[in-house]
Amino acid sequence: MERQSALHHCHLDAHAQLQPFYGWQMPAWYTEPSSELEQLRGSVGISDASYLTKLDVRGPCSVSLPARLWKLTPARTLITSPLPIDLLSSSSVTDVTSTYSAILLAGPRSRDVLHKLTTLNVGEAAMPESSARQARLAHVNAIILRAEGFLILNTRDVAQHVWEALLHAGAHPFGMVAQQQWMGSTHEDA
Amino acid sequence: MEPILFTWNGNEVAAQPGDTVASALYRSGLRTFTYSYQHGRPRGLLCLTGSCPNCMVNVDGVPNVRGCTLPVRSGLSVLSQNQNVYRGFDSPAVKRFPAAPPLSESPHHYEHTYFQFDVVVVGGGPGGLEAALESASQGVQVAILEMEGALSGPASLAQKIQSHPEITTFLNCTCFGVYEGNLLGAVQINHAAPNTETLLHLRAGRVVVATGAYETQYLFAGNDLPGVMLSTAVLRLIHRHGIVPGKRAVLIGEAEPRAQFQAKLESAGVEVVGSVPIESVVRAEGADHVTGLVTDTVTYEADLVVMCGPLVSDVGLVASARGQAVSLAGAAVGEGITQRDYLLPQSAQSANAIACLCMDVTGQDVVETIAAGMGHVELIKRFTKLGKSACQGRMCQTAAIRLCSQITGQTLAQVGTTVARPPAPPVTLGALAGMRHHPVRRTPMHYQHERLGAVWMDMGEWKRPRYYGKGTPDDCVKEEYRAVRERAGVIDVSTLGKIEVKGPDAGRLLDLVFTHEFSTLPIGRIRYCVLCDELGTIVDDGTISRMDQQRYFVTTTTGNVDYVHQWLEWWTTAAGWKVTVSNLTAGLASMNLAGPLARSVLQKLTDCDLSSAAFPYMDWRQAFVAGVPATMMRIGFVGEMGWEIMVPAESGNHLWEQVLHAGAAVDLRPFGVEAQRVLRLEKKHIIVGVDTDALSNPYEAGMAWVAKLNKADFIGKVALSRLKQTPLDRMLVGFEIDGAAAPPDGSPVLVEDKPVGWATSVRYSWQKEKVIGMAWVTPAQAKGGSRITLRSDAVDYPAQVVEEVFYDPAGDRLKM
Repeated sequence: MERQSALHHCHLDAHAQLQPFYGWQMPAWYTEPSSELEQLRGSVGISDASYLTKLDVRGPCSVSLPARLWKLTPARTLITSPLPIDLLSSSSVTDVTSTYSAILLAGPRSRDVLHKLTTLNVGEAAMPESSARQARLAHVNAIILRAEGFLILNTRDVAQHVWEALLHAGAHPFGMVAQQQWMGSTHEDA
Repeated sequence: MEPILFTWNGNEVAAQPGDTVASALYRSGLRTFTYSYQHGRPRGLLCLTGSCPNCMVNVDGVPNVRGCTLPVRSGLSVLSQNQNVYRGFDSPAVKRFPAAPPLSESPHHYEHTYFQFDVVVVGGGPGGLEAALESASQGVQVAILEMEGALSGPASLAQKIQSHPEITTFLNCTCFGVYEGNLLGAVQINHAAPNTETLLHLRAGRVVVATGAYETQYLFAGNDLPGVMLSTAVLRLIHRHGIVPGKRAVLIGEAEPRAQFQAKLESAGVEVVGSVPIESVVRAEGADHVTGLVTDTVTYEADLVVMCGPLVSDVGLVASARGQAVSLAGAAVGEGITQRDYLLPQSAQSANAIACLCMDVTGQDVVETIAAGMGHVELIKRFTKLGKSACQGRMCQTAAIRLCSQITGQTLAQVGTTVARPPAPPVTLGALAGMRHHPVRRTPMHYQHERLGAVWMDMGEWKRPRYYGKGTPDDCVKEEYRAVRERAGVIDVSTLGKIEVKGPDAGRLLDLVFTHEFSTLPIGRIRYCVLCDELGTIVDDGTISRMDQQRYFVTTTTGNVDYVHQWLEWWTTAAGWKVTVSNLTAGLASMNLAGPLARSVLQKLTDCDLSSAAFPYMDWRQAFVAGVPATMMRIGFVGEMGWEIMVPAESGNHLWEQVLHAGAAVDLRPFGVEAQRVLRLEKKHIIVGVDTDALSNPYEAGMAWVAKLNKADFIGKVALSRLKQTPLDRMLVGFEIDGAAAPPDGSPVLVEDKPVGWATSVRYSWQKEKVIGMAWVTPAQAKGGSRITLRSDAVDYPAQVVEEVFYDPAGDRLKM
């Protein structure tokens, strides 16, 4: 049985074409992958990335790609990975995959959207690639990670609220097909 | 080109490209734009820079729009409005425009945006542009806020600015205040339809105020007549809009600016019939428009009186910044602006000279105020309301200070200025409120409830089903209640807090924070928990399950999970223990399946042996339920055999569907919060925060058994030990009402007509076929059988105190 993200209902409402990705039932596209990608490259888009495995770690840790490591505080680290990770059975590691939704906000106008929703300084200098911040976004707590755009993590209960606020602020939804092409192209650029 | 057509009070008006609403109306022949606040005096164009209150209009339903700042566009519906109307003077004798229809919803779209810049320059004139370029040349991020639709100053400079990568320009953007930490508030208006007002929050490393200078009016009799204008307004009409605002003009002011202005006016084809210093002015004449000017020697016939008024540096922002790091640039510095000494004429003291246009304060009002002993401008402001309205003293303050100085013989400095406070200019409440992003928290089964016809209730930001169905609330709740008591029911309890506590010191931490002992709780068992603060006050309750040697699972109430989480983190850090506390509330879907037939329903979905021998009350087990890895906790808030089942949030929908499906054979019902409230009230299970308040301790709440004073130490132990020795002054008791009607929760409780407490929960109990409840009373009434009276809306509800639990006092049904 495939897992459903907290945005499942939003995808249904937007007539998404649902397909399995990483064991999750995700929107492959809403309108058409190439037009979604084009819009994303020219403007700004959001995509559900809740399928990412997320681990909350206290104390020191290290990972290897494709998993990524984000320092939230000196004592607290978040690990994200598109693939399942063998959990170190340790009292300092907590699997929070189900607890947090993840939304990828990407495209050249991403910051215009964030400027409307958060007081956080999201400028290139203040928040460079690979940095992580905790801030209020659309009046709820969020973890904002700088990767291929901005990866926005919220507790699952407010995911739909944040998705709707991002849409209202001008972002267009794009599906998994466009998301994977976007990720691939930004990796090549790097 | 398409003509620009808009309406003024329903009549079509044609505008020229580049027109503002005010200039287009002036072009169409309108001279009286508003009537004044108190006396209903006609008012016409005065400043044309958004500094005065004279051209306020209602645009597309939005009142108080300054017509001279709004570029006109086709399709606008503009209505006349008065300046704020003072009801006390609203007699038929006072001239008014008819009131505009009240606004139900603003047609504007409101947004907030947040920016950070190294330097923010307020003002896009020559001074501001130079300051911006200088900063940007040092490689820092610069923003320019310009209130008009274009930068002014030399074209080459403006072009450099627009192409500069480090400079961001915000046009139509008015800064209204500088706040702590160099936070600037500004409103940017997008004039294209639909109108968007954006409130900008700008954090600046440094603020440069380059707001320039503005012209203010002179004080003399008739100075507010339509046709008496400031020289800036006349120049704007001529140069920006191609309108010549008169045929015969008289100029008032200092000799030099008068001479300069006379040349400009004459080249536009206006005959200048007179040019006089302010000292000689006696009065402007006219009824609805100026017809002439009388000086102490001559009477001029004129249809335009121009005040070449004193220039004032616009430093309100600096003054309101109160110690923030703000610097000045350009004309705002005050350089080149000489406040030449001049005398106001005698007529400045008349009742026909208007000092404050917004509040209709006359020269005579100011004179009388000074005569009454109030010779400081702050006192004049408070007594007369001068400077307290829309224009924030821009048009009146210089004249009032001068008048006061002249009468009292003080210097201008002795008279002083009023304290500038943001916001100036005014900001609409809509812009301050911004977008409606009210957070909504949804459980994983939200859309299952919607499909089942849930009637929602708000619990904080959460949405929870109050009950399901289209019938009357009573009928629906009764059906759900009966299902749980007689068959089986299921309720979504995902909103309850779920916290994982793990690590070598987890048991110690829970022993410290909660009143019970948990380090000795066997693995596989669950225990009720109460959290008290240092004063012994009940803060929260829930359950704690021991998952393994070093791992516990804590449930909390819906509203307190963040509090409990932080409390646990705080004490972990304070004690320096090795514990990891994780709030997993959002990651787990949980539902409570309860009722005498609950076991048969759940057994269809799992291989786990659910018999009481294998899975007794207050035990938990992990097993697959409907194919999903689940934790089942055998607990019973509603007083029936039941299991709280927790699965990963993504599987919540699936499990909910499977439980309903498996329960169909026994007519299982989903039940909402309302049925749960009745069910638990029959068991006298308290809800923290409903039945207890911010002062309740376990002894008065009838829960002395939770205070484990024989435990080594825990938070609140000292206070609870004391409280145990102290006579109680109130107690939480159960009661039954004699009749069938129920007063609302919170009704006062009386004995012999004197208040002794209040009822916390009151519900009709289908089990007792009576209204039951819980109430705080004095100890004298706490004995079973004591008579009390509840009162609501002057109706009395006689009741008696009941000591035992209303339903299944022995708790047999929980352990079936």
